[in-house]
Amino acid sequence: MTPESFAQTEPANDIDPAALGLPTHRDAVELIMLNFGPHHPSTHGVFRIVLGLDGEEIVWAYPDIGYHHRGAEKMAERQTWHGYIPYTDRIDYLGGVISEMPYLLAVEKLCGITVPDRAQCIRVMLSEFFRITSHLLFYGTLAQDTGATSPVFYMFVDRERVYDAIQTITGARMHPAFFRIGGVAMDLPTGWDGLCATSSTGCRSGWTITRAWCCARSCSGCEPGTLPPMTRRPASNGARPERVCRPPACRSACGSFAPIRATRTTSSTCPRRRTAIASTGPGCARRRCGNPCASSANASTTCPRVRSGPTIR
Amino acid sequence: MTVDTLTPARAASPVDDPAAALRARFGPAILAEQATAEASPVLWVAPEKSPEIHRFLKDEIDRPYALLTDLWGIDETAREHRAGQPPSSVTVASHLVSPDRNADIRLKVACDADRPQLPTLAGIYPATDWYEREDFDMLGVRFDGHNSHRRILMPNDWQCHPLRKTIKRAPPKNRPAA
Repeated sequence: MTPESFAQTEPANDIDPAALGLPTHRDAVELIMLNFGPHHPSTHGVFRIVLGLDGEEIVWAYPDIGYHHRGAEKMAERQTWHGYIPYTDRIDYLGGVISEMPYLLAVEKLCGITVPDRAQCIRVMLSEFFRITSHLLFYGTLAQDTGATSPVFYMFVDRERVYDAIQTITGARMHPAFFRIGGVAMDLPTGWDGLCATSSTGCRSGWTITRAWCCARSCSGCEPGTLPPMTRRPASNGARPERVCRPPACRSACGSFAPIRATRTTSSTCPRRRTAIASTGPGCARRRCGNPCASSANASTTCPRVRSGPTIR
Repeated sequence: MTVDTLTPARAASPVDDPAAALRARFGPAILAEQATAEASPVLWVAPEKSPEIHRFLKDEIDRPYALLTDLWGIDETAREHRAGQPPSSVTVASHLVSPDRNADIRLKVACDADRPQLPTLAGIYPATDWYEREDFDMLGVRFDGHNSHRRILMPNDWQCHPLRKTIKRAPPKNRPAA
């Protein structure tokens, strides 16, 4: 960005209310035009609403998006089918592996690839982990945007616990790029089932806040094209809710949960599970962290990817 | 993974078959049905009949397709293996969902590469308003009757429609490379 290009771009992106058919006056009083975002803290850098204000009253609002647009489709044109997987993590940067799923389901459908039940189960469980971490951040910051500063701290504590589990399974935290065409990058670590004992109490209270907030909107139905969770309401005509009718991944994967649990080799109790995690030192290279972990004893201290290890409280 | 668990089952009864209902109502305006790996039908429709067909699916058909979940453009100039499909350089596709049927349908409209143009759906599905602006922004598609072809994702002074295959890696002239 040069001063010249900046000088050219800046006025091109100004909003002219008159050109958009928006009022400039009300009751002979000129409205103040205010840019709410994209740099306002509560728009999180990705969204701008231009407001027409009469004193403290909002007369019109013009939303402007695109500040978060990175041309993911254009990037995909230069990637291989496999090489694009890490980019999908960043479509929703809080969603981690979740965005890998629809991309890979499409590729697998195109190729006629059948994914083993165990891999499907791992995919679904990791996606659920990320759903929890994403919702925790969303609930925490939503409350913070309304002026409640405490919840976000509770949310981040719980979020950290979940990331510990994700880190132990995938070797990465926010963007693991863990799924593969036809399955996942590797099997679950020994003692994985103990990771699921983490509890996220904060999520429940956040859900209550948000549900109260959204209930007014959720009655608006299909017209604006809203999708769940905004439209996840008690069905008015006896139809089952969308999510029940269309599981995002194979339902049979959930059925294979029990057999996988039966294959576990260590107890899920905390001290023994920590031992199991530490014993993955030689396997660290498998996790693409690139750091040599010479012995199992110091794996948890030398390898940044497993630096703290998961803790169960 | 079986396909059946991922997508809703296609209607068994011909009465419930939206493709048959559309053919009965619109005849030659339903240009082709595209063979896909999906359970829901994918139909190519005539551009001038597209709004009427969408309105039929939204308002008139039994257990209507009330929800438009997506509308997007595809630059098909480099695509091969298009047997059985109408010739198209830029395709605009819409994905409709019927919550009552728990079924989907996808409609495609073929456009010309030099001047892609088709009627807007904004008066039928309000959700298409921003999708059509995105298609203009990314692919240069013009929607007759749409009230604004203002760019929605790219900056307003952007010089090209970036998702066209003719746009290569080089940035536009007013965006010097870092």
